[in-house]
Amino acid sequence: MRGQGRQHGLGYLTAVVATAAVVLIRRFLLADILEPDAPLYLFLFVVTAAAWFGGLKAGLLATALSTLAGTYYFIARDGWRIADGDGLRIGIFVVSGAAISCFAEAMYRSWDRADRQREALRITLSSIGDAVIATDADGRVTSLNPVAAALTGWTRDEAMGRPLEDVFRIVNEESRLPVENPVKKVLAEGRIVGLANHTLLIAKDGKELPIDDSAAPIEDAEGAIRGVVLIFRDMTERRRAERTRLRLAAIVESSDDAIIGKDMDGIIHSWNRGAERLYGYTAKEVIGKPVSLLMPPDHPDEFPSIMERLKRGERVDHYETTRVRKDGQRFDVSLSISPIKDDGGRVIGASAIARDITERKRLYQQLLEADRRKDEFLATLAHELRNPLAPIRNALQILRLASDNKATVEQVRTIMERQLQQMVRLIDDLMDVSRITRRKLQLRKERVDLATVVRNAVETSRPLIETAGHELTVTLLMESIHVEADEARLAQILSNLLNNAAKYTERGGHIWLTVEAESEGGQPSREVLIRVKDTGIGIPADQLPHIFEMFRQVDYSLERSQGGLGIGLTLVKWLTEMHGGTVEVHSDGPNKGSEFIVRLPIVTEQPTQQPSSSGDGECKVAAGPCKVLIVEDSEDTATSMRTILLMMGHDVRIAHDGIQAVEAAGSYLPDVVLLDLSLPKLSGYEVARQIRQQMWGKNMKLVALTGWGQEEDKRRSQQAGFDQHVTKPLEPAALEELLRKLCPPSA
Amino acid sequence: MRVLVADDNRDAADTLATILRLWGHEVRVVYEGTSALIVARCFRPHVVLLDIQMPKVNGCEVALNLRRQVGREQMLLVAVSASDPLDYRLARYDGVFDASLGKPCDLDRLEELLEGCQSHIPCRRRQQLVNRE
Repeated sequence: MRGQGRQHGLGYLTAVVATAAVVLIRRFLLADILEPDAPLYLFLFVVTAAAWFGGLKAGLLATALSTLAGTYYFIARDGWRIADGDGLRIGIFVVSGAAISCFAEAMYRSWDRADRQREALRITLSSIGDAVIATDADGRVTSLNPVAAALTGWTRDEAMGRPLEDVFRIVNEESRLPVENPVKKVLAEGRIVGLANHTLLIAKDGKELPIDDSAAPIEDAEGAIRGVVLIFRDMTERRRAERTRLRLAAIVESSDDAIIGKDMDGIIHSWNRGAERLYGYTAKEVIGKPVSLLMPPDHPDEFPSIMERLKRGERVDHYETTRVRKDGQRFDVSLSISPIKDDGGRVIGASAIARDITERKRLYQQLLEADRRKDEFLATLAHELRNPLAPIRNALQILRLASDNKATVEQVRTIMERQLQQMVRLIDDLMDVSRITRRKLQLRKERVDLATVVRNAVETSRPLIETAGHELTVTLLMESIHVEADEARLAQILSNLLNNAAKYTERGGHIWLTVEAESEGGQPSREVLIRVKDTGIGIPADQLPHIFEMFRQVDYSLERSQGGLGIGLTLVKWLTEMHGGTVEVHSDGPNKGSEFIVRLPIVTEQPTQQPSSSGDGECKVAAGPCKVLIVEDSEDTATSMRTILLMMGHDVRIAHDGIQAVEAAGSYLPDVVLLDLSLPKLSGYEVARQIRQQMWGKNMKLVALTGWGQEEDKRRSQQAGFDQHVTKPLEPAALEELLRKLCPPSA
Repeated sequence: MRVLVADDNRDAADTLATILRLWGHEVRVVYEGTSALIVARCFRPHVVLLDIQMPKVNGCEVALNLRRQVGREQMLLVAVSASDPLDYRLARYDGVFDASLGKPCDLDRLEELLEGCQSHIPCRRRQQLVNRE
C-alpha cells in the first residue's frame, strides 16, 4: 500500500461485493452457527475492507449498505419493522463503521503527506547545484545526489551503504596527504565542519578536482546524531577565476600608470602603486576621499564635465590636463577614464588611468625647438652660401667688362679667391658636422706641441682678426706642453674660438689667447687651460647653457653681420670632447665680453722615441716633369687642371669618360692618372681595376678625385687599386705637392 | 645716374660698385646702415641698392629713414638680400622698397631697373640736376 494512492473504485466494489457475500454467508452457511443476537458484527469486516482499499467514502458506503442489508435480512421482520432493542444495535454499528472509515482516511492522509515530503526532498537534492552525500551514524552512505555522483564518479546504487572514505577520497592539494574525513570529525565533535582550503577530490577514475565543502550533523528530535550530510562543490572554475583575478590585480599593481577606481560621487575606492608614485599619496591616505583632491583648484568645471560624460556611458580618452601631487607640485597627465557598469548596464563608477606626460611634453617641446632651429639653419645656410656668391658673380661680370685693365683684374681675382675660400670653409664645416653626427670623424692623434698648434690657429684666424681691427694678445707658457691630439683639429678648435671672438666683437676690440697649466699643490699639472677672451658683445645669461648647441646663435636678429652657420662652437665642443677635454663659457652679459676655456689633458711622460723628423723634408724640390692623364667629365675642371699642370711643366692629356680613359692610359702610358670617380660609361673604380689588370698599368700612379672624403670612400678606392684619394676641389698647391710625391724628380 | 651701394660684405659692395662704374654711373659705397643715411643726404642718389642684413641698422630701417628724407618719385630703393625675399617683407616694411633683388643679383635685371629709373626721373628733378651742374 505504501506509496500508492487510495483506490476508490476497489473500495466501492469491495463494499458492494462483501456486503452481498456476508448476507449470503450469514443467511445460508452460518445461519445456524451464529447466534441471532449479533446479526451485524460480521459486517464490520466489510466496512474495514472497503475502508482499507477505498478510504473514507468507500467505508461510509460499506457502512450504509451493511446497515440496510443487515437490518433487512436479519433484524427486521415483516418488511421494515424493527424491534426496540434493535435500534440501538443498528446505531452502534453505524457509529463503529464511521469510525473505522475515518481512521482509514486519516491513515491515508498521513501516508500521502510523508510521500510528498520525501519526493520534495528527493527533487531538491537532485536538482541542487552542489553535491550532497548523506551518511548514517556509522559513516556509511545513505544518499548521493546526481551532482555528487558526477563528481565522485560513483553511481547512487554503487555508493549506497559503502563507507564514506571509499566514495569521498580527499587529499591536500600541496602535500598530497589524505585529509581527515570530515564526517568523522562531525561525528566526533557534533558540529558543522568546513574543509581546509586547497582540497582535491579524487574521483573513482582517478581524476582530481579542487573542491570546497562542509559537513553538518543530522540530528533527531532528541539531539542524537543520526548521520552526517556532506555538501561540496567543484572549485575548478572558481579557482581559475580567482587566478585570473589575482593576475589582473598584479598587472594593475605593477603598472607604471596610475590606475584609480572611483564611484559615481567621485570617491576613490582603489589606488594602485603607480598612483602612489605619481600622486605621492598612499592608498590608505586617499581611499574614501574625493578625486577632486587631485585636481588643481583652478579647473572647477573639469570634474562635472567628466562625470557627465561617464554617466552617459562614454569613455574619456587621452585627456590631457593638469593634476596636483601631494606636495602641491603640478604636473601634466594624460587621462583615460572609462565607465564601470553593473550587470544591468548601469554606470556605477569609473576607472581612470593617468600617465605622467611632463617628460613627454618636455621632449616634444625640445623636438619642436630642434626642428625650428633646423629650419632656421637651412635658411641661414642658403643665405650664407649665397653671400660669397654675390661678389664672385660680380667679379666675373667685371672680368668680362674690364679684362684689359690689369689692376682691376688683379683686384677682382683677390676678391674671388677670398670669397671662394669662405665658401670652402663653410662647406668644410658642414662636412665636419655631418661626419661627427654620423660618428665618422677619425682623429689622427699624436703627441703635439701646443705652442705650434696655437701658432697655426692664430695664423689661420689672423686675417679675420686684422680685418676687424682687433688687437690680439697671445700668452704662452715658458715650458713646452704636449698634448695627445690631432694637430689640425686642435688648431681648428682654437681658430674657431678666435674667429668667433673676432666676429662677435665690435671693431677695434681686444682678444686674448692665454695658455695656462693648473698646478695642484706642487704636483705637475695634468690639465692645460686655453682661454680665449674678448671684449665683444657677450652672451645673455639665458643663452649661456645653449651656446654650444647646433645651429644656435646669439640672436641679435638683423644686426649681426657675420652670420655664419651657428655650428662653429658646436664643432669646438665636439672636437674638444673627442680629445678628452672640456670646454666652458663665461660671460657677464650683453656687451661684457665673453670667455671660452678649453681644458685638455697634458701628456706628461716623455715619448719613447723622438718623432722621426724628415730633416730634408723642408727642402722643397719641384716635381720632375711627368706625363699626367686627367680623367674628368667636367670640361671646365679638366681644362683648368690642365692649365695648371702645363704651367708646372708637365705633359698632359685629357679623357672625358671611363672608356676613353682606359684607352688613353694604354696608348699614352702616363706616369700619373688623375681619375674622377663619378664618370660616364665606366665608373672611376672600374677604370682603375681595368688599368691595374694590364701589364703596363701595374706601376701607374692612380689618384682618385672625388667630392666624398669619407673614410669609407677612401677604403673603397684603395681596394680598387688607387694609390691616393684626394678631395675636390684640388688647390694648385696641393696638386703640386701630390705630383712631387708621386713622381719625384729623376736624379 | 648716382647710385648708392650699401652692403656690409665689402667684397660684394666693391664689386657691385665696380660694375656700376663700368656701366657709367656715379657710385658711392658704404659698408653699414648709418653711413648710408649720412652719405645719402649729401650724395642725393637716384638709386639706392640696400643690403638687408647689415649690422646695427639694417637695410629696412635705412630704407624707412631714406623715405622720410626723400619722396618716392625722386629715389628708387632696391633691396638686395641673400635671404628669401619673403623673409624681410614684414608688414611694416611693405611697400618701402620699389624693387628687390636676390643675392647674387641678376645683373641683367639690375640693368633693366636702372634704365627704367633713368627714363622716369621726374623732369623737374632732372632740371634741378642740370641747373646745378
